[in-house]
Amino acid sequence: MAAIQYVNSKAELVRKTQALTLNLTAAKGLQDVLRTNLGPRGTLKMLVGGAGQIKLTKDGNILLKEMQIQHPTAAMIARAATAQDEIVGDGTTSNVLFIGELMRQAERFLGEGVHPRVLVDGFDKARAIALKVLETLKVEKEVDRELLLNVAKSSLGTKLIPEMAKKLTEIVTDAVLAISQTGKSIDLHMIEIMHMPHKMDTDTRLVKGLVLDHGSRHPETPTKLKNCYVLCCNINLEYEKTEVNSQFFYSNAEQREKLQASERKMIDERVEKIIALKKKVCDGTDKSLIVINQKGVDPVSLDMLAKEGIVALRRAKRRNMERIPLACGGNAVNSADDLTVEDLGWAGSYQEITLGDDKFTFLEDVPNTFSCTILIKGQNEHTINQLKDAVRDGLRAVTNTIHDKAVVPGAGAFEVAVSVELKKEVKNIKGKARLGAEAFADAILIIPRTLAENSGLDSQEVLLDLISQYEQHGVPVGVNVNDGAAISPIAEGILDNYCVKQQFLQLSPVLAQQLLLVDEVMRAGKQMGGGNQ
Amino acid sequence: MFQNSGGLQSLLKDGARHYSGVEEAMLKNIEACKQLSTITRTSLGPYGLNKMVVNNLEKLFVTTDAATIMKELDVHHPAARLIVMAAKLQETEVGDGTNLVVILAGELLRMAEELIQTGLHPSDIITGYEKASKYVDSILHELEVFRVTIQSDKNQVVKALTPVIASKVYGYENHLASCVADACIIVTDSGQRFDLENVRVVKIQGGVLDQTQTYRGMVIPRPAEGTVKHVKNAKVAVYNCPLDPQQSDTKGTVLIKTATELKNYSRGEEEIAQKLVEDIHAAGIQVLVLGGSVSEIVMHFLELKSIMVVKINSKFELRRVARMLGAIAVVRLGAPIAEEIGFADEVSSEEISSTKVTIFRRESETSKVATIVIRASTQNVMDDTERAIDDALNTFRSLTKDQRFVPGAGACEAEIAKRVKAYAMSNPGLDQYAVLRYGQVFEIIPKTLAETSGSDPNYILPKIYAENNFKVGVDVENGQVKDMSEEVVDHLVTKQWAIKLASDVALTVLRIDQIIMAKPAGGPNLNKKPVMEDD
Repeated sequence: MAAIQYVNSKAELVRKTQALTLNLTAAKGLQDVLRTNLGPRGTLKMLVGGAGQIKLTKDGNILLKEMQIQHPTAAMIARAATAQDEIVGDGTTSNVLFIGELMRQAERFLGEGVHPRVLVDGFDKARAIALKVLETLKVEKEVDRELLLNVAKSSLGTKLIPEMAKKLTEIVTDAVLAISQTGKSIDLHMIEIMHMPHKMDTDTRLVKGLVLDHGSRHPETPTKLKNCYVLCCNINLEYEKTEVNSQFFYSNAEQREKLQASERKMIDERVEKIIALKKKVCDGTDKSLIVINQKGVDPVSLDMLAKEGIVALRRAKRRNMERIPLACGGNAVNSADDLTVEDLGWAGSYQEITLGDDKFTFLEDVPNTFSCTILIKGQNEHTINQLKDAVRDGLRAVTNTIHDKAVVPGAGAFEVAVSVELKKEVKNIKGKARLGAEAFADAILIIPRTLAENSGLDSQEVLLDLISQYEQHGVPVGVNVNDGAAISPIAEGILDNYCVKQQFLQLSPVLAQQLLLVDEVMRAGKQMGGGNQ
Repeated sequence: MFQNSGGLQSLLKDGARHYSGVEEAMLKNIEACKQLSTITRTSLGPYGLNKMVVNNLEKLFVTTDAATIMKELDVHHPAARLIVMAAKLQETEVGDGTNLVVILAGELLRMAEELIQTGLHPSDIITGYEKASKYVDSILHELEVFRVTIQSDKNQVVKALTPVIASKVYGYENHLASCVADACIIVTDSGQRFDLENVRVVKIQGGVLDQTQTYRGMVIPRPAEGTVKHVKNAKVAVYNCPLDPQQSDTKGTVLIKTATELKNYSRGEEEIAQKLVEDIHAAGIQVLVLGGSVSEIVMHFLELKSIMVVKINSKFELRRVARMLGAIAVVRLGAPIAEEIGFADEVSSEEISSTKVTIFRRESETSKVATIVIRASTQNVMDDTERAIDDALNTFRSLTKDQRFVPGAGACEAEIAKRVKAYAMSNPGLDQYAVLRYGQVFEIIPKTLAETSGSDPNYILPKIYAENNFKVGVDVENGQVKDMSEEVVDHLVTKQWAIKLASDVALTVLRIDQIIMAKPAGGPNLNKKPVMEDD
């Protein structure tokens, strides 16, 4: 009986080789699941949730998140991969594959009696070299639309079918370009991702303006307007309860009527101020006014506004209050007093679209595009979700490029280069650490190999071809997923983010090291009767 | 937890299931989809057979409408659910042709399965299907045989709508199509816009389907409140608030000190009510339509002034009535202003076989609301007819956007099959097999039509092909082939969407090679006996 069982009789324990095998199997198991995901020719996975909800995905991050992993080691790897996603938004699948492969390579040496500590040292040395290689491979380019399009294309191509990837590439690039203001950091929250369960996924588009997912609540308001002022406000236009407990006392109906009238008076006054403003700026012109209110607007106020031809939207979302001034100009106002023309924003066209019970309001032709909307359409929920996840990653990829001002050749070229350079450098490493570095160099080839495998190519042949091409010419070469030929990713425009690769090199080896150094896994059993344990 | 069985299964939570690869995931998915489409296949066409579905609430449906069957079946299998979603989308986008989606998708997958079994890689099938579906999309418009040139021409509209209804309630299609056409023409405005919202369907049990008729105006299945049951040339006011001296938002308490005050208080209430009614009466209002409640006292005064009162509970129905009457719903108490008053030729409460209804009639051209009253002997027939009418209305809606029609009765599908097969031969790659099969898929439609009408499905296709005329389809009445394009035409856009969606869902299923299912979430399990709780 192991020592721990004296302490806690229900504890479980595995040690030494067994513990290592446990970690190895988990890493390899996870790698097996995710390997078919990688690259533009990867396959889809279908996830069915507890309530039967369907999700189709090719994205490693989503898959790991939704898979409900219980195995402790696998969960750890999954968390590392999701961390990668949170930091840079891409490269989760590569991470899992690389960790799995590092473990697989290490297994060979461990079988020969090498101590894990030695391998771990080797990993460290190899990683340092790999990061240096990354610096030399990094292509510093001027950030223009074409470059961004290429990066977005490479990122989206791995997540969607080619037709959709092509379409979204332009959308995400233009969206990021639209909101980027010189000298300011890019806030991706200013790109609203709105979805409409309507038409086909190919109808997805970028709206240079705003789409709100609610509409006017009065039947008489127009659904289409041109040349509109937009008043974005946070003014209460409905009955407000007093802070203190209050009530009316009255002794006849007449008194009551009076009390009611005065109760309404406050709200009516505010509404009238808005109407007065409308009259001031719009009368005699073809312009109209749209009021977007964060607070409520009651039916009576709606009616008053509608009579004046003012479109009123109530209960707008907090974040839209921030976006409307960015897109339309003007200020968000908090009081109906002292309203001026300067507070108003502008939208060239306003349209309300009803889909079943849901209403969508479009504000387009706005003066600025510091906030814009990607309108995702799709036949059904799973298509929309798939697009949404892809758009998110695409936006991150574009933003990363703008931050990095550099890119790295994709299509497995980077990994091939690292492996070849490492093998050259390995000769200079003295002692047993060399073994670890060698394992590292072999392991990183998993990326181009899987790319080739998923495309139905002979992975060994492709890999050897790539290596010899690189050794001959000294320029990065990647795999063409369509025919297996060696291509220059830079010329073909297959570009990956610098920060993604950097993160990838930092994260995976560290995790593999941690897993290798584990020599005991314990789980404390539940003390009290858990019932079904 | 620590057993090293390997594989993904050991990494997941208990109860989760995992399938991967062609054998386990893809073929199983295809199997489920095939089963689903077999269910609805025999419901296709005018001679299609009814399905009896009892849903989870024990409600009975007898119908040939694929959308309803799909909805009530409560499909659980994830891949089959994809097909159900595609069918639902077809229902929302074009409103007709759901069965076509399900049948085509099922058939596409059946063909794919055969190809997989002969050793073709799924990715080749995908490329082939993609190519073929693009090709069909590009040739479909060449098959146009009929075009609705004038949307207000009843003959043309009836021709377009008859086949839609015929496939659901065969035998009554002429009468029903003419009712629907009437309603559609009434509702279409000068700008050729058509809003489905403005055609209402009311079901009243009793009578026969032939008595179904279209009214210009609204029919509300509810009698008038008071004793006034009939008003001609009425001025109508619509109130969307309770006709009741209003409560204030702040809490109110009546403070009464003496008995006189109490007396005066009630009198005051009455006076207010009386004044309100008098104001309304003074504005010339003869009929009131109310969205909220009406207090006894107000009702009393309304009766005195012989004002007819109709209550409508649904907010949307109220708006519709307002629109039809040309009124604007009033949200505050008091007499309506001139713009808010609507007008009706006749408002009357009538009894149609023991169902009391209120009919608002307005013959004016500006009133764009029509109501179709369905009469039939049983609830089931009425429901089925309603679905048929709904499909026809949707077809009209699509017709306002695109006026083209293709030959029906399986002729269009046979032609597509023929052309795609010819196109397949021009593809040198492995995908040729898939394109060829894609063409074959369409043969299922004429085959099924023949099958349900009792003739031999295998004879039909050679006969159609031999005619060498793309208008020739299956004549279900005598099991022959014949140029049906004079009587049976299908809407082109409906076909286009159905083909697109079916291909789309088939492709999605073929792209999936791994399924991970979480443990079904807890919740009341109705089959299990409740377990006694103990600590």
